[in-house]
Amino acid sequence: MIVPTGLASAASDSIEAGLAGLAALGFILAFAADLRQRKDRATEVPPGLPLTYKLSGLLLVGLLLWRWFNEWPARQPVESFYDVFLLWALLLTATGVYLHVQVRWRGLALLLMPVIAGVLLLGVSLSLAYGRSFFFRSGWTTFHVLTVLLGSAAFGIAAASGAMYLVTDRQLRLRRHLGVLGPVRLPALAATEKVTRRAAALGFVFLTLAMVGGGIQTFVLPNAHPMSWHSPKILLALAVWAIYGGLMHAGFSPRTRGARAAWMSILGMVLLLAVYVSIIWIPTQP
Amino acid sequence: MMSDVIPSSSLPLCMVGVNHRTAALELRERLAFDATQTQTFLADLHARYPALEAVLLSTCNRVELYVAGGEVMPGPDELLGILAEFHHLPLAPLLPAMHSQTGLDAVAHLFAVTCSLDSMVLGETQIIGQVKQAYLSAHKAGCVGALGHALFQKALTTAKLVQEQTELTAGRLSIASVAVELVQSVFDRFDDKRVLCIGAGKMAALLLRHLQALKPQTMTIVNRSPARAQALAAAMQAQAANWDVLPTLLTQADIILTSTGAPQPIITEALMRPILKARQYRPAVLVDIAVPRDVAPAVGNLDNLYLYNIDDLQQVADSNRKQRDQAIAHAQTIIAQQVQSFAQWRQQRDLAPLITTFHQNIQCIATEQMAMLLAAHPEWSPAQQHDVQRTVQRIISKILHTPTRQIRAADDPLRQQIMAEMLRELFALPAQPSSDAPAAPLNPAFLSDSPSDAPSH
Repeated sequence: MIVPTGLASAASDSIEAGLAGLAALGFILAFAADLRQRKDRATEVPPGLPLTYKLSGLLLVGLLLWRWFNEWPARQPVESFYDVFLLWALLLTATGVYLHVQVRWRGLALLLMPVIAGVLLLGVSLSLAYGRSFFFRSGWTTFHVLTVLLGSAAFGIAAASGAMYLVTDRQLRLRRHLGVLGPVRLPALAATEKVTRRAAALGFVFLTLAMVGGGIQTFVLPNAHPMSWHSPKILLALAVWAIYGGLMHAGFSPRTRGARAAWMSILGMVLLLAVYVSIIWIPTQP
Repeated sequence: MMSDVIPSSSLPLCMVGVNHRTAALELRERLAFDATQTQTFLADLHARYPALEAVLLSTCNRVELYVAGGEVMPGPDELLGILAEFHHLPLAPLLPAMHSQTGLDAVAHLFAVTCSLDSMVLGETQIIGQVKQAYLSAHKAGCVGALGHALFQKALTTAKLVQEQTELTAGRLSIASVAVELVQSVFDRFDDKRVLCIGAGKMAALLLRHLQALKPQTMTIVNRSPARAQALAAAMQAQAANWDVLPTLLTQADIILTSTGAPQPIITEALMRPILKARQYRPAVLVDIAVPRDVAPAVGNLDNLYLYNIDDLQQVADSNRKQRDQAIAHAQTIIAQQVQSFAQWRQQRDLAPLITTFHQNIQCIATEQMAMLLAAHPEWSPAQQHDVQRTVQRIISKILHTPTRQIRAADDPLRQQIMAEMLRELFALPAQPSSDAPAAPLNPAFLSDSPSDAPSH
């Protein structure tokens, strides 16, 4: 039987949460430093990634390795919100390094820094509130959480691609690069629109499965903890589902293509984040 | 430029030639080499100086000969004379236009040329392919040895680094190529795209020629004078259409060029609104190079329509030019680092035989002394002999380790060279053999046609 393994169950967990928070602070400081350098444009040679970015990235690697190997095999590698969000943050950090190396996308690394910090803080908050392993209750809980996480990753890609569409669209209309982002050369609008639509379609499938799984574990199973249909989590999840359903429709509807579809993908992601935040409000439910 | 880093004399490399800064076009074209002439010239040079490595770079901006190694290195004047002789030109008029570099200055010059810092159009990428071609031609002629391989592969790698890490080669500079770049920012494929050209002037033809390279599905030309439209269509392998069907063509087209002499806009917001709906809001790029403008500015505010007039294109071109100028310092920093890295590689390569000889000499002494010691003590058991031998080996290793590490780790190449000379003198080591004798193999990755696929060296 797997025991609860979320954060705040032991002193070491509190330390881990604190270190993740420290990494988040590092990314915020890196964002501020990079922003200042870009505004000052003091050097002709583009500066490297800020030191706090590198240190925070190393801290994330250390934290993940510590969690994975410390209690292996009693604990699965990705079995709590903390683990999942830490992994996402690390993947985003690596993406930031890649973007920074590619001169035509360097400006995007700047935008990624607060996103990484947000992901980390959300992960820590969720884990502190939920405080348990995904595998704690039943197979349906596991199914629900895994499909939600996979769907979230797909929606994250859709939102990022949507944001890239809007940046390119703005650059094309202004006939110049956007302020502190500097010279960012993104893929063609048609390419980013395709990625947005496909990622959103994939996420929509996962989200639908997640809602089915969530519905079964909440309303059908005999040992379910009944939740009101009016709870913020369910209402927000339905709103997200509707948004992405609309985004699917955008693929076929001429009027909602282009920038509108990009905005919808971002709005959907914001609402999805709100669903996560609602878990903090209702900590007993996954 | 780099002569303060390492004495140029220690690197047997010389570059001589003329370029767009030193010689007029007339002189450059008289001295230019085509592919066949290059092969013949290199074969002649190889016959005259068999030990000499040589690469001839001949482009519209420059004719430069890079020579390296060899027992006898001809001087710049002599090399220029050989170039002139090939074309049956007198040397005297060429001498004032000649420019030459030696040692690391020549390395830095080649890297700057390959990175397009020395080009007439700053940041143009054609030069990378031309340098690669010159290198491959010389390799084919059997004129490239270890130094030449390392030098040109490093030059191509440096160009790739500059391309990746700076904005030197980013963005287009001409109006037509800027228009193509903008079109490529909207669409990711062109085999299903339709180009509509309204007007049949020279600028329209130039733009169409650039767009033709994208291989669109169709190209249609409309003009008030059908004869001119048909003439241009025939020249561009496009199709001509009547002015009457313009609204239908606007509904179908994805890329719209306008270049008429109309005094009033021919494409207005009122015209485009229903057309946009009929197009199902498919995106379109409108490039208006007419003065006065053919497309009303308000059309650019409509959803999924991207409108550019001649000033917009010029603004983008100017911005790209400014961006390239700003990237020069960064590119120069990268080049300086790569020249330094090349110098260190060369220095390490020169050190290797010396250090090997040094170690072998000491080892030889130790072996002799061990043999004498073992002969004097026949009573020692094999285990005792082994222990003594091991101890001696440890002592030798420890003694050799520090000077070897110190000489290899010396930051300043000049200091490193002095240390090497001292080592040679103190231990009476023989004069250093040439390290360029065995030719390094050609990296197969450099055989590719693409100018930007040079691997890291």
